[in-house]
Amino acid sequence: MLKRITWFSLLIITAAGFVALSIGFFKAQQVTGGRTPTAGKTIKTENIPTKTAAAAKESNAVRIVVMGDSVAKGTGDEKGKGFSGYLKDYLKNQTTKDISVENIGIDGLKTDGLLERLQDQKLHSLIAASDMVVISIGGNDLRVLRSRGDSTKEAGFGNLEGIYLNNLKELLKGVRKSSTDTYIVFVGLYNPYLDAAASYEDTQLVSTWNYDTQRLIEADPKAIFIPTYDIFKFSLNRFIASDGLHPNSLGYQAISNRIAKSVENVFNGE
Amino acid sequence: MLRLIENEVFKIIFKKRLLIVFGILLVLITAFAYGQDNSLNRTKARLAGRIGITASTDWKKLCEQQIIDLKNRLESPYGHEEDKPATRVRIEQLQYYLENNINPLDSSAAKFTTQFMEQSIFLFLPLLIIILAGDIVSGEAANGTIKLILTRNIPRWKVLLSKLAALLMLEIIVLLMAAVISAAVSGVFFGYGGWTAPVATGFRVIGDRLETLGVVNVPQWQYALMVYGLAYFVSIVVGTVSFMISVLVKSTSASIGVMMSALIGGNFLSHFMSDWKITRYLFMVNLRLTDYLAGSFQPVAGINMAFSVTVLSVWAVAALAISFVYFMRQDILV
Amino acid sequence: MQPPVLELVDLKKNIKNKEIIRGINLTLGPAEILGFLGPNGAGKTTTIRMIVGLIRPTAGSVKICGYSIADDFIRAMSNVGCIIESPEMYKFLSGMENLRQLSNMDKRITRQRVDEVVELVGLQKRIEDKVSTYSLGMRQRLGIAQALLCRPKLLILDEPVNGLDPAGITEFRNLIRRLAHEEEMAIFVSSHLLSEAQLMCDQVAIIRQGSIVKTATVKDILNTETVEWRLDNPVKAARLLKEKWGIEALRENGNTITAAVGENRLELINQVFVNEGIELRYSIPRQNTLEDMFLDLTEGDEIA
Ligand SMILES: Nc1ncnc2c1ncn2[C@@H]1O[C@H](COP(=O)(O)OP(=O)(O)O)[C@@H](O)[C@H]1O
Ligand SMILES: [Mg+2]
Repeated sequence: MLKRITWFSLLIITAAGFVALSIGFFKAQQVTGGRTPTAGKTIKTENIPTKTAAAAKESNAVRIVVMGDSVAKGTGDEKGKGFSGYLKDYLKNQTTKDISVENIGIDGLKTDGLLERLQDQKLHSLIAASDMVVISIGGNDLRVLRSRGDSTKEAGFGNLEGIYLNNLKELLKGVRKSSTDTYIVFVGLYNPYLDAAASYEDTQLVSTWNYDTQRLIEADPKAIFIPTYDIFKFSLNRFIASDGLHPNSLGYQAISNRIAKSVENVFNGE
Repeated sequence: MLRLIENEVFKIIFKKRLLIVFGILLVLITAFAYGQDNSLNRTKARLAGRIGITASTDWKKLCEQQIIDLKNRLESPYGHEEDKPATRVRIEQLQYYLENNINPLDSSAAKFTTQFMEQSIFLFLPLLIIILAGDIVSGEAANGTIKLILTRNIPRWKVLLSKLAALLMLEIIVLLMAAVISAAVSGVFFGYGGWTAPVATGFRVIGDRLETLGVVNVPQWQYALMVYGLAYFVSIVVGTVSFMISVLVKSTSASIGVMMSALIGGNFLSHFMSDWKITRYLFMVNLRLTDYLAGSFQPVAGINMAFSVTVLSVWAVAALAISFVYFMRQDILV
Repeated sequence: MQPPVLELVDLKKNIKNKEIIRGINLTLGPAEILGFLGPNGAGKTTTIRMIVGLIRPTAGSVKICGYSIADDFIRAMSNVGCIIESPEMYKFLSGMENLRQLSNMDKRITRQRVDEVVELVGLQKRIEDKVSTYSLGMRQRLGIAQALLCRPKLLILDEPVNGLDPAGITEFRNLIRRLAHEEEMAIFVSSHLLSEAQLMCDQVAIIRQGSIVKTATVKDILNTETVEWRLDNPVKAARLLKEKWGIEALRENGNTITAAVGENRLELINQVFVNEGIELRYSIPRQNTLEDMFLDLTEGDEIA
């Protein structure tokens, strides 16, 4: 008798199980297989304001393009603004002109990645219409070195920096191709690891990197190198976000202040 | 026919095969759950040490931060269009964690139950199925009882079919046991919730690229159902191949041995000879069906769900055909 | 007219290019008990496997109650109960579970029938125990029970008394006779033990190296008589037998000779021997046995 009960419950359980598992299986096929209708719905068509170079350059507006890595993007800012946000706020208070900021920062971007993006026609027209291009790049290029062993650092550095500087040169050329008269603002590197691994060597590398970058930038009369190294050196605890790498809101505000102070007269004067 | 299946099911149960499987599952799942709990705690400790704050209390801030970042990325006109669905899905997940006060680092019974099967589908689950299926026919040949059942007034194909049906039934029971034990045991460590948490799926492999346009969130229970559905499909395929070996071979140990080496050998092959075209047609290489759901990378490039399911189906059908033809014609000389 | 219960026509089997069975013809009617006798390796089990469809004949046909085992397996096998070689059952199940399993495979078998059969073979006390705890004799009984479940018209038993104790053998013999006489079952018993067949069977078929070398009723065999003499001049006696009656005598050891002579002529022969001056110690008429015939027929076979 017990056997019959066992048997019938087994039958029912397996029948139900079979139905459920089959549903699961076909659902899985559907999800990984043919196009589901939701896929089409989620993609919105381009809603970027396509400002062509011709339509732009009204003197009553200041157009800023911010591009580069996660620092450009504003990663780590608990308010989500990043220096581009604060810069916009600041400039708004300073002038009567319209301030528009396009931020196209991408986490983890390196110089080669940015060079690639620069080929983009849309970015080209954005830069052409801009009054100022703010670039933050190189942190990720340099970070490759950190992930390598210390012994190879010295040797690897020169090589790596060479590639970086080359890319940077190309980058400047690229921007100038789109626009000959836009201001280029380059945000220098800071060292977020100062207290953790304050090796002299490390500090040395960042300084060399910044120095060489600055020399390259300043060769262009309408470009400026904004150092950030000094802002963070004694204020890591206040300015670095909880991920230990990116600036926090205060850090971004500090960077923004630097940039604003350097460029405010350019726009006011016009 | 139902009577015949009943016979076969009870033979397997009385042979304690199911009990062995249950025991293995219980021990392994407990070990897994304990291990995961341990490593979770270590991860948290490490995070806390690195960042200088306790991640367990500050995860909300991190979540919010991530959401803001992702939203920025969504709004940026220069992100790749095809990254956007995945980004959107990630935001949904983070928002769910925040709203429901779930630390995304933490595990849950639902998460564990799913993960356990995802980890088991290519080796551990097949091994269990082999234990179950390996002696289903060869066992009768080995102890001579095959003479007993083949001298009834029942055609041979019916005898074999009832064995196959019993196997397919018990595979369901095994999966059910795995799910229930996983949920019950891991709940002790991680709590019994998490069934409605969103999980991303809908990745597609096109060529050798992972396409993320169709990515959507589904609740964890639904995701688990899909994982177990795929696991059942894998069980059927491994079961039928094992069934075939069991028909062809006269001893239980040989049958189980052949299947195990095929399985483990196949897994090796997929690692070391992934550029060899022919390996993709082996059934052992195509068992990781759940990876397609999760969008992880394949050991052999250029295969996708449809391909794997087709290959596996062909194997199963061929194995069944061989089993039946051979069994119908075979001289019973034991 | 009813077809015979079992009919084998020119049955042959080659295994791996070796002729194992070389053309067997046999018929068996209801209520008959056939002893299928032969030394080990003669091909008894192989023949039985072909009868129940476990292996395909290379040539020839098997019909059970008129149904061909090759073309009409199910109807043919509905009439057969069998034990092939040792009676293997599921050791991890109880005796009763085993029988239930088998009764599940045939709609005709009721619960009562299972109990009935258990009682018939006298296993009531141990039937709920696991088969792994059974002695060989008990397994034989369970095997017979299993074969009887479907009330077969043909019962096939391959070496059924192996492992039974003397009391069990007697019991078994009575059961077989009863089944044949009361239920009109045709029974096909293979054995290499002749003394058994003699007591149990109506007919015997003797198989040797895959061919049947003799079929006879047990009665006929038993009717053949021989006489054994012990005398001082066996050579002369043998010559006399040959000259006067044309009887071929066998010289046994020393002073003993034997010859196939009916009891009716024995007195006359002895008279002649005495007249011829032969000193006669004794003469005994002796009934022939299957054993003798078997040894004659299978002489020269190596024991496999
Ligand atoms: N699987 C097999 N392969 C080859 N030869 C076999 C096989 N089974 C039996 N034989 C041979 O067939 C002959 C008859 O065997 P069998 O029918 O078992 O004899 P019996 O039952 O009369 O003792 C033997 O000579 C044996 O060696
Ligand atoms: Mg034999």
